[in-house]
Amino acid sequence: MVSGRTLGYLLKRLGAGVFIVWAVTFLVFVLLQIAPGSPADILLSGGVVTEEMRRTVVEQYNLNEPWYVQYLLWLRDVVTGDLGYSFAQQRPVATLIADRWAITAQIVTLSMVLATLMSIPTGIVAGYKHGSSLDRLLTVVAIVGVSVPVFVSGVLAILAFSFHINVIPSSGAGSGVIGRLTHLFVPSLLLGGMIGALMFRMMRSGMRDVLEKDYMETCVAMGLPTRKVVVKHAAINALAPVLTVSGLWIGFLIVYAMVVEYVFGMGGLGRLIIHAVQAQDAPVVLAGTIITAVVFVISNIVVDFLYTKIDPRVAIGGQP
Amino acid sequence: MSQESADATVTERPRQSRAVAGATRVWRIVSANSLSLVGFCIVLSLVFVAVFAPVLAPYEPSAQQLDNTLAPPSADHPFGTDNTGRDILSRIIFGTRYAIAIAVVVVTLETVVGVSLGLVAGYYRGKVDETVMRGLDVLVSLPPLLLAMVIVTTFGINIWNAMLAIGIVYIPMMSRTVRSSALSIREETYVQAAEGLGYDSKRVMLKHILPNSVPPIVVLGTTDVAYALIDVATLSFLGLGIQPPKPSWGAMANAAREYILVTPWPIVFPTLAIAIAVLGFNLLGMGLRETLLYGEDYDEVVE
Amino acid sequence: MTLLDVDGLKKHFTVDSGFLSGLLGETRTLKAVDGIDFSVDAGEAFTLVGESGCGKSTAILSALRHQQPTAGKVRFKGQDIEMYSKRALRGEAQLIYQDQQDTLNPKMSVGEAIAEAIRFHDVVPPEEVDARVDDLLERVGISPAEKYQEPSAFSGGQKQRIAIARALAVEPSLLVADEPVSGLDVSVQAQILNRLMDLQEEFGLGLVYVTHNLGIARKISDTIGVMYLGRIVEYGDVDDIFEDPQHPYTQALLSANPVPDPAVDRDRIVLEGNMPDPIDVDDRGCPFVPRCPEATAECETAEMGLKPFEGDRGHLVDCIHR
Repeated sequence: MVSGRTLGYLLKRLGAGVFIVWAVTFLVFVLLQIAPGSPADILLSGGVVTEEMRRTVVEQYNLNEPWYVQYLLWLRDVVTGDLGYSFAQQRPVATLIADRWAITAQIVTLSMVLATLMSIPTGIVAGYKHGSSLDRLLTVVAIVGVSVPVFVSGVLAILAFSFHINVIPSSGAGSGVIGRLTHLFVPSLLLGGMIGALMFRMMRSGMRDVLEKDYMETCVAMGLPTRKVVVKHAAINALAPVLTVSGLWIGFLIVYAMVVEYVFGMGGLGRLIIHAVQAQDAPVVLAGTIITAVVFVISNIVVDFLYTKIDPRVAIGGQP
Repeated sequence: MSQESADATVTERPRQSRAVAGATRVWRIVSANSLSLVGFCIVLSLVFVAVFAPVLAPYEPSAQQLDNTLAPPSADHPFGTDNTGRDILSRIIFGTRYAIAIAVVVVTLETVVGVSLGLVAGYYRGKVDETVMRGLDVLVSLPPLLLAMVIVTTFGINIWNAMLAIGIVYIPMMSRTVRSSALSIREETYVQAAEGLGYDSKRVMLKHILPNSVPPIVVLGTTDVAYALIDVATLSFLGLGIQPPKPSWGAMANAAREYILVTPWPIVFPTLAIAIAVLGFNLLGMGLRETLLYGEDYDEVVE
Repeated sequence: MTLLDVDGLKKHFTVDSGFLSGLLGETRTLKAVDGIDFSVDAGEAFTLVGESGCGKSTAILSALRHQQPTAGKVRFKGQDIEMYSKRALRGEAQLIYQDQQDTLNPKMSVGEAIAEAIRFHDVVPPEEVDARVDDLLERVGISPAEKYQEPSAFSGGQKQRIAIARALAVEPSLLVADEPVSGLDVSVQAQILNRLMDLQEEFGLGLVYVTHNLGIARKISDTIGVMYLGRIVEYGDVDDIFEDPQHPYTQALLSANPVPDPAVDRDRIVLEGNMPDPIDVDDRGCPFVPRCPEATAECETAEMGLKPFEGDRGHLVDCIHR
């Protein structure tokens, strides 16, 4: 059941989310305005520019109107799903994205699952046995994990597996469920390892903080078996901050998923957007930015909702 | 202004003994934890290599030997040569200069802009705080790397835009940290007392709140350098940051990608260099976090 | 010369009584300070005495514009206090806090902290600042050689004295002390109070002292105001108040506290009940009625206010039975 207060809290967060998405569109618009060169040049810079294309872009983006009219009309287009037209690729941006978002979404999901599987149990153990040699080992592994950029581990993995051991496909996205999964597994493992290292760190320090609280001693003093205390009470309490942060990391994850796709030569959003940046194809990059912001906002609202389930104080107190 | 410069001279100890005391203090904090000690050594070596790059490098970083391309490691070229026969070791040595430049840009932007925004928001609270924080929320909703991509798309791909973009995107986290620290410090009795002495807000913020929020700033600043190095290297690897033939590690890895089937060395060494530099800053940051923010023995170490 | 002249000072707080009643516009008002008058001359020590929660700290904080008062006129050296800039006012009137030992910035050497105050208020030319810092530290019994230390190197009592030195460094004409020794050992308390009294005499300062401790009040004050629920109920010369208390509340306070003066012999009066919540106080009648042993029906509705007691030299009391 969702109580009135929880609903109010979630509505407030939704309002904040709408504001953020709006502000991102405004930021993107302002960047186009203040960048050197006219907006028409930037929007067209992806390919050979003809006079006709220039007329089209001026018309489509209302570039002869004052800036606020341009902005409002553009905002109306974005809201109705018209994300512009890529002159470099001669296709509407919305179509380009619709064709490619699935791979990125799969990588993001799979790496989140792998990250959770790798980090939560290890984090609980390391936090519980804080200071032990196992804790130290895991901590060092985690530091190395966050220190190796995904493109580096990606390149090294391709080198090691595809060319020398030759068991995993090094490029393409595969077909069929099994084929797709085998293609996705190594990239997702690398990305999940990076995120998992961050989650491990949070889980570990969360466990440490919770275990140092007085009520933990009370639980033990009252005769609860240690294992039960640790797993049930401490882990649930330590999970809350990890959940919050994983919401904040979703954008980060999307972008690094793009990098991984690019390294492994998969045709997801990553290749689309990175090629678009290389080709200075602004409409695609701007649309990608807005979509990332929307996904970020939605996933954070979902996280907030889950959070009210784990920690009722959030909804009651009203102030996260 | 004259008053500020007078502040530093009248009741302070002589400059030299202050420098020695400061260095001793830094050393004690850094060596309190084995993580930060290792990290500090890595970072110090990076600075050393960057400063003395021309002396340490066996070859000119751009000198091509077209008759000796893509050579494997050997006595002459310990890390091998790249596709135009340039010595990879020498290029990596010069590459430290880019890493240090990135660190300097990020730290400067974070401390100048990020710390000021956080201080102002935390000190004035209310509407000022609301406005600043809502603005930063928007930046936080975009992943640093993506925002940097947007900036280089609209402003053009070059080394300065890439470094500035990465510098800008790390401002919000710093502001948030400083803000929350300032919010609690401004309630401290000594800040109330500083206002009770009639001090203006600038003095209260800079001389009374700021010095007391240094630990979280140092910790976050160090960790952010690590992330910024990853982001700039990634941008450069994607061809969106520092461009070849500049000997930046990311750009070197990017250029070597085409020859990955022929020989792995031109891509392995630069990527390892990136990982080691990032590791250095990460270790330093983690160790400092333990010592400065959580350390039970912090007082013993510092006092 | 009258340094501080407070006339009809009020400080009310709006109390948030919950979300729903907030929506309905129901707000309750806490009258922390509800119309008080007092004045302090140069060289005079005035003490506000009262139980904790009576509004004595709020009274001085709002008198000196550390908080914005709700109503009332305050004149400093004959001029409206609103006319002073913050810097000028703080240069004239310094506050010594309850937790004075925590008022030193932990990241600033104590010498620098004092020097900063001197420089900020342009007390002496820059080249004399150093000597002045040494002089002030010596006066409060701290060796100038220790001025490079940060506050953590000192004990609570030492920090208290350093902070007093800093307040004096500004060369104020009025010193306001809010329970400055409450957290310290008795021996240290005495040391600091003596030091404070010596300094007050030496510099000819006006002193406003706030305390719940009657022993301290008697020791240091020339005049006393007894506060109860945001009002001064009795005001007068220290000896008059201690030897001939008039208000039933003052009598009860004195009887409950051992005063080191065997010549004074009085019965112990025990107050019934606790001090009521200042939110619930009625505007009419005497606020002391619920606990007063002498209360009559008249007290519930009477017009209250400080009145001279038998035309005695400035001994004022707020009770219709006197």
